[in-house]
Amino acid sequence: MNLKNPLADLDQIKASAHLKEATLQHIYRKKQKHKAPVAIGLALACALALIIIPTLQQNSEDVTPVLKQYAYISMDINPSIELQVDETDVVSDAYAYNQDGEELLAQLQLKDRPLAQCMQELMANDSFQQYMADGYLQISIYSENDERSTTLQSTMETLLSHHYTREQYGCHNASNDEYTNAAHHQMSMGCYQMIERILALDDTYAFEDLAELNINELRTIYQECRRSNHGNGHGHGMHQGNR
Amino acid sequence: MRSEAEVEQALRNYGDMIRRICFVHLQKEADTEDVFQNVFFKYAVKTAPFTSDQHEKAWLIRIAINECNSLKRRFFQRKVELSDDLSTYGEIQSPKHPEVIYALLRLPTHYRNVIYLIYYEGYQQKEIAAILQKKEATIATWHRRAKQALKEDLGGDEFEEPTR
Repeated sequence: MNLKNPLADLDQIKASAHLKEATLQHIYRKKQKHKAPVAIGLALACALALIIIPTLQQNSEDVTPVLKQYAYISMDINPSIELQVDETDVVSDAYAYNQDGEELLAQLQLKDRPLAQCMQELMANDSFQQYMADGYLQISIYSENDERSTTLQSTMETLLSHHYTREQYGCHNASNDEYTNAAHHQMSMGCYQMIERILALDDTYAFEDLAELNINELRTIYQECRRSNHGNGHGHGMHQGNR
Repeated sequence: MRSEAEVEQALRNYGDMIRRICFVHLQKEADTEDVFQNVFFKYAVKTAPFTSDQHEKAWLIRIAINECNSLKRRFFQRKVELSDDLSTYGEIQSPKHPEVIYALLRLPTHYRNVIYLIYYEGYQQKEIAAILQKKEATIATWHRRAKQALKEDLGGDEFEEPTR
């Protein structure tokens, strides 16, 4: 079937009068907010500065509050989850990046418990064991303190080595950029790192499409890209040799 | 900021196009309205002038695609199954070739963009590369793979020659 205009049915899609009117109203409301008197804003800023600057000078000798330093451990098999760990290695929060992750966390009691205990509970969980039976556990760790990241990596590898072979898991540190970018894209550090590795080998993939894949699918693509690169010296897009 | 008249004119000129881009990416009407309004708000507050109508249109296309991608990333979303009935999505009430539209919607997002921009909006690969800020070779690859995927899905050569 050779159609003169294969997408002609899209002609039926139009922006309704209601949508256009609602959009205009939306724009006008937002523009009004933008126009809130600049002079008033400036005056407020000056007033606040007059209060805050002397206060800061007065308090310069005071003890500044100590902010908690958290580390973040993301784990991907197909469930994608992340643990927030405080300086005493207690898990202060746990959250999921996909439905499988949510279902897994619903079976576990991780908050306010030591990391080692949480990992034991996780590894003993039936669902987790099923995923690990033919899956690969990708762990990524970030802390502002590099030494802490390294220590946590060692801790996690020790915990995992008692249950799994080296071929079943990988443990990596994440940079501040990777941590930040992963959070921006609402994905785990492990998935983000894998996507970046794929794109470094073959930029014909689109980030937004890779973002919809789970870690196993991403690993498969990554391994294919590596084989292509090693096999013929360049990627499988048409831009070979342009890197 | 642009005047009310300018924004209204842009809605008249490009509203249908933005709506179609939203449909190709999102399908659901509720999501479409958010993106549609964001695109024209950004148009309204953009201060730098456009060098031509083509520049204006290309800018709007890129903003619309970026907004659709942002919305999809903003919320954790499971893959949504396409409805069997295109009229579920509101607009296409009596499609002549629904299988073609479904095949388009089953493509990965970046392939969909290329197919829509070539076969509906009539852009060349080089122009699409400039709009999407990708290499021309990348667009050529995506076009070739998209056509192959559509051929396998539809079993025919509907997308062999751009006709618009």
